[in-house]
Amino acid sequence: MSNYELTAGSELQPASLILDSAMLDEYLSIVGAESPVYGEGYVPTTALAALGIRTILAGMGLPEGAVHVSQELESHRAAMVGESVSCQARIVQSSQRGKGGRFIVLEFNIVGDQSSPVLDGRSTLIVFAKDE
Amino acid sequence: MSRPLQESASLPELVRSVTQDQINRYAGVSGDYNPVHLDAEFASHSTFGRIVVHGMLVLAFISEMLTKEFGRDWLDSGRLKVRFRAPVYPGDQVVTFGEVKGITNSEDGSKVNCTVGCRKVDGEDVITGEASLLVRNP
Repeated sequence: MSNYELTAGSELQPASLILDSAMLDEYLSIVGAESPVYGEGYVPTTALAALGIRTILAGMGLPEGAVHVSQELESHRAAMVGESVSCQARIVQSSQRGKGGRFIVLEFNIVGDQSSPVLDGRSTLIVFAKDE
Repeated sequence: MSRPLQESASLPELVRSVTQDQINRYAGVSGDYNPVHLDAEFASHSTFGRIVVHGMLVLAFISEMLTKEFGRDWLDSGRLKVRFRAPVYPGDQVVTFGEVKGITNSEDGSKVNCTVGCRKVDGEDVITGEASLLVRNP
């Protein structure tokens, strides 16, 4: 299932991506986002976060059925359509809570050119064992 | 931002319905193909008993509310901390909410703290949390 153990301290493979206009147009359509700033080429914070989380999912291959419990985001600057960014992510906590499943806390950092910070995130997930 | 900042001011309510088609498309752009969002048979055996909407899709409605209120300042400096409290199911209609709880002025602008969330039209909170940002001086 995974290239990584779900253990605290695991660093996931960094990934780079371009904030593609077609993908972002599709995102705006799905969300119903229509703020004027998007017409100026700015990327929604949660679109950027979703891409960060995609990097995490691609890197670690969470078990099916994982549930998102909480999310923190911190923007350092707005990202622009067409910009190239990279995402680094790590597991900072992994703890079994009885039969309540395993709590996984992940942190990610999205950076732009010259490693300038764009967005930081912290996601908490519950992963249930298959027989629970 | 469309109006003067005031404590206790409400943020704009956004009403959104979520369909399975939106969920499928969101999986495509986000890369989150967790079957609890896409596979009815799998989801029927999950803790929810049926397909649920991606939490990040619902969170996007809250971020959109903040963008609508604060514009680029939200994208430049926004901080958000939320809990996903209840599942949203395909076909549900949700409404965002928020309130300005505090404003601290400085040379750079105004630091604004808000409570934010999203609830179903029946009143059940699905996401609650806090947001803050710096509203720059004109």
